[in-house]
Amino acid sequence: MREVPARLRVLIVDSDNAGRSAAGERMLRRHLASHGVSAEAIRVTSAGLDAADGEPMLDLARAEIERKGANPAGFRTRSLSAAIVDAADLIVTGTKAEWETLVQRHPHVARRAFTLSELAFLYDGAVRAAPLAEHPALLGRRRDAATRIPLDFELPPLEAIEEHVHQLGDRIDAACAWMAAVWAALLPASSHPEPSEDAMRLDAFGVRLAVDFAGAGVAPVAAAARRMWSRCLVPGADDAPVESAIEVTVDPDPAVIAAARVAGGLAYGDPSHAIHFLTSAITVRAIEQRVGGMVMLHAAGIAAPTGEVVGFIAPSGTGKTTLARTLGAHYGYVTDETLAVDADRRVLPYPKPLSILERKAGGLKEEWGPESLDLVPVPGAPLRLVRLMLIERDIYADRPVIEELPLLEGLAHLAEQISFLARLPRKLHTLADLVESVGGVSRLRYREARDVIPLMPRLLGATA
Amino acid sequence: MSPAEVPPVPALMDDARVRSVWDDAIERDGQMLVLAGNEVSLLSPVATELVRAAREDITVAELGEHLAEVFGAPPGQDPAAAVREFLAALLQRGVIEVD
Repeated sequence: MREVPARLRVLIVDSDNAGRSAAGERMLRRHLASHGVSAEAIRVTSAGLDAADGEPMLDLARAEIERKGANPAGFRTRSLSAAIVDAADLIVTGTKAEWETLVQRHPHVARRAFTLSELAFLYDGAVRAAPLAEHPALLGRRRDAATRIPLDFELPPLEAIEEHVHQLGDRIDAACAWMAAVWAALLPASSHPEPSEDAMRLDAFGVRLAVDFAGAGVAPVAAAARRMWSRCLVPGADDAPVESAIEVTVDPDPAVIAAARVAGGLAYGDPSHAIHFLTSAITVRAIEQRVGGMVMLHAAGIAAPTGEVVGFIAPSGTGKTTLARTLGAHYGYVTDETLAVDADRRVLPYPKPLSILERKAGGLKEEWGPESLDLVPVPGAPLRLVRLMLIERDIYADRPVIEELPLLEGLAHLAEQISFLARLPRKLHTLADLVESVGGVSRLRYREARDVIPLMPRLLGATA
Repeated sequence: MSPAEVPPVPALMDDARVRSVWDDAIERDGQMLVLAGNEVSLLSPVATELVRAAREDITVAELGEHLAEVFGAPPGQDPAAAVREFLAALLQRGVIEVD
């Protein structure tokens, strides 16, 4: 099994380190601990841009931390130094003004620093299924592409100090709770449990995974998971070694959930969260098993009956799944999210469930299996990548437009949609070889996914 | 880039020494694609020349003069001031380090 850097080092920064950043540190630690995430896996610290060292936190912050069930004990303020900044993978500031001051002093961290409000927005349902080590860069790109991100929380005026602090405490705690839930599901396995005889065995682009189900409320989740993952299920008689095992517990009892998380499993109180995070966890665990081996693109894959595959590349939340669903009604559904290609351009299928419905409360989308959506199965012929297309929705495109991109421009876009690019044997050059072998990268602009259907014979080549 | 819509320009003195760093790079037609950490950046011809000139330590003022020699002086602007704008963007992308 390959080693994957597991640690995410999170630094929370404000001006004096006595109020908001102290509260954020302790609330985030509490939520991570409640998911069974150790301080070795995700380390959370805080510091102040203009803080004195060694002071206690403000009484108001202490009261808020305690009100949220977190532990304020042993805290002392720290002034922000270059060493503290450099030791962080992800930096969270309280306000936009603090972000600006931080970046003035340490410009090289601009792309891994976010305001808390910004982070809550960027994490709202969109960053999924990417290894944790890649999140700062992914979030940075998502920020580049987004408009109108709320940079500061809207709060009551400071004159109403108690109400102000309570609401701020609520916002910080809610953001920490959601981030902790996302991160906990995406961490590399902390232990490698032996799967049971009854485990759901899956093949994800050649990676063999096993999922066990536990808890009083898990029956509907287990049934739904087997239905949604039907295209990836491995027959029971198969005895290939399991590379990654996951246990998911669904139970109304918080004590059961806590025990399951401590044991290294995923555990949730309700089925919808379990289904949602399980899909992300399976994808990330599979990606980790092939780090440095295959090119893993954030792309949808669609196959001709003769095995030629077109990869449609785009960031999360920009139309890949809709396109995969629409084209998959007519051509083989290879994947909607992670397209794995080896050095010989061989594509390994990953026909996972699709998140297709409107976002629901709590940032969750609903997952649907390709069988339920009646998508065309992957053909029996060997799958081979023949084309790479960047996709872009354009409401003004009367008809789809294809534009060939210069090599470096195509590579620049593509490189942002690769898992563990830096771990590929020849990094950018591995990617360049792949791109040149399929004749470069094109950009496809289209209005509706259905507009792309008539283009498919051309994209797949004459054989289709 | 956000939150700051205009990236802040760090207070780099003329005699500050800078150096370019990357993990992999591909050059084509005067442009360069660089991988630094997890960030990939497509550099313009001027930025490409800048990071090539900064492969070994170089001062901000020397860089400004070098770019002015290669591309001509920026109209109405001090070469070192113009180079600072490039350096600010490249610093944020991890392609340039300050000694």
